[in-house]
Amino acid sequence: MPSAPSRILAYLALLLLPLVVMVVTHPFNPDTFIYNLGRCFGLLGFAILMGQVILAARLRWVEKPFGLNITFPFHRRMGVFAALLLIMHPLLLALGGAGWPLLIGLRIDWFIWLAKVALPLLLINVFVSIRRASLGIKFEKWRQCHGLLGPTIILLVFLHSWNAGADLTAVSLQVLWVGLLALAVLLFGYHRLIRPWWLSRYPYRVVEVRQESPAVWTLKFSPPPGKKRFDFMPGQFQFVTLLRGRDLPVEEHHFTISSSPTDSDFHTSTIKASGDFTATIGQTRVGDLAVVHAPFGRFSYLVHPNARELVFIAGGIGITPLMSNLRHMWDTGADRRVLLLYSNKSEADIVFKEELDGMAGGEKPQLQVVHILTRPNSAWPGETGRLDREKLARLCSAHLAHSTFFLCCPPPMTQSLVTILNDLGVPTSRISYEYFSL
Amino acid sequence: MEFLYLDRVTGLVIFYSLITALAAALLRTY
Repeated sequence: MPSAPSRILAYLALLLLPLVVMVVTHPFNPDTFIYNLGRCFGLLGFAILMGQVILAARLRWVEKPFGLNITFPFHRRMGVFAALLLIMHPLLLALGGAGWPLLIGLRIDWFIWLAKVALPLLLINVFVSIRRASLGIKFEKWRQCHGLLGPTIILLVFLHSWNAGADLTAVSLQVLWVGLLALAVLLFGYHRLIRPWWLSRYPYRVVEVRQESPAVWTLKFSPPPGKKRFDFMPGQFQFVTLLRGRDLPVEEHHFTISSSPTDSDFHTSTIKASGDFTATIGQTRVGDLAVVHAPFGRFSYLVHPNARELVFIAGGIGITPLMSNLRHMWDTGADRRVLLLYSNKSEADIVFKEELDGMAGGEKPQLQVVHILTRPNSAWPGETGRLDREKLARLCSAHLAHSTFFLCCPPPMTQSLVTILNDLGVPTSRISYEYFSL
Repeated sequence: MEFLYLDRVTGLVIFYSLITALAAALLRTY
C-alpha cells in the first residue's frame, strides 16, 4: 500500500509528541516511577482522543491508502486503547503517591470532578460503539449520540488536564495542547457541518429507479448540472443522503456503487430493503435529490494489479461491489480469470442473473458463475445449502493455491469463510473483504 | 489482507506508544 507508512508515522508522531515535549521541558521530577507512568498514560490518552477525530472525519488524505474498512475499525480500537490508558491514569497516580482519596474522596478539586464525569462517559461511548449492533441501537441514533458524546468528552478531558496537569505550566506543552484541541474542533466542524453544507449545494439527481428483485432496487444518479461525476474505482462505496420529501427519512447511509466507472455520466447503487431506512428505498422517485460524499474503500481488483486469477464470493446483496468490478473488467476487456460463488436464498433473490450469465460466455474476463441457493425450489438444478468447507474445497480446488479472494457477505459469513479459507491453506494476505456495515 | 493490516497497524501503534510512555516515565524518575 503506497504512502500508508507515512500516514502511520505521522499519526504515531502526533500521539507521542506530548510525551517527547514533556520529557524535554521537564526532564526530571521527584515523583515515583508509578506516578510518572500514570501521568504519561494521561498524556498519551489525551493525544489519542484528539487523534480520534482525524481517523473518523473521512479525510481523503487519511483514508485513501487504507480504506474506511481499516480506518474506522482502527478508530474503534484506539478508542478502547485510550479508555484503558485513562482508566490506568488515576489508578497509577493513586498508587504512585496521590493516595486513594484521589479515587474515592469527595473533597477534591473541580477539575478532578471533570475527569470523574469524563471517564464514565468515555467508557459508555466506547462500549456502546463496540456493541451497537447487539444492543439493537440504530446507526443513525448512535451516530448522533457519538457526535455529542465525543466532543463533550474531549472538552472535559482538555479542561481537566489543563488545570490538573503539572507539566502544562510549560508554554511549549500549552501550545501543543491548544493546537491539538483546535485541530480536533476544526476537523469535527468540517466533518459534521461545513462539508455536509458544501455537498448539499451540489446535489446529485436520481434519474432512474429500477426494481431488480422483490426486495432490491437500483438507483441511478446523475451529477449536478455542469459538474462531472466523481472519479471512483470499481468496488468503492458512497455516502448518500436522499432528499425525497414526502415525509421520508433524511439520513446518511453508505451504499456500494454497483456500476462501473467506465459509465462516465452516472453511477448506480443497488440497495436491498433490509432496515427501517432501506425499507423506503422503493419509494424513491426520479427527480429526487441526493447529497453524495464519495468515493471510499479499496475493494477493487485494480488495487491488486498482479492478481490475474480471482475468486469472488458474494452473499446476497454483497454482489454489488463485485458487480462493479466485473462490469469494469467487461468494459475494459480485462485479462482476468474469475470464479464467482454467489449465494442467495432463492432463485428470485438472485440479482443481476441475466447480466452475469451473459458475461460468463466472454473471453476477457473469463468468468465462471456458480449460484448457490439455501432455500431452492425442487426444480433448482444447481448447488444448494450453505457455503461451507466442503463446497469451498470442492468449488475452489483449482484456486486455493494462487488466486486472490474477494469476499462480500454478512459479517458472520465473512468471518466463517476466512477461517475456512485459512484452514484450506489460503493465507490471509490473499483474502480481501468488504463488510456490509462499517 | 485487511485483517492482517489492521492487526499489524494496531499492534505497532500500541507497542510504540507504551514503550515511549514507559521510557518517558523512566527518564523523568531516574
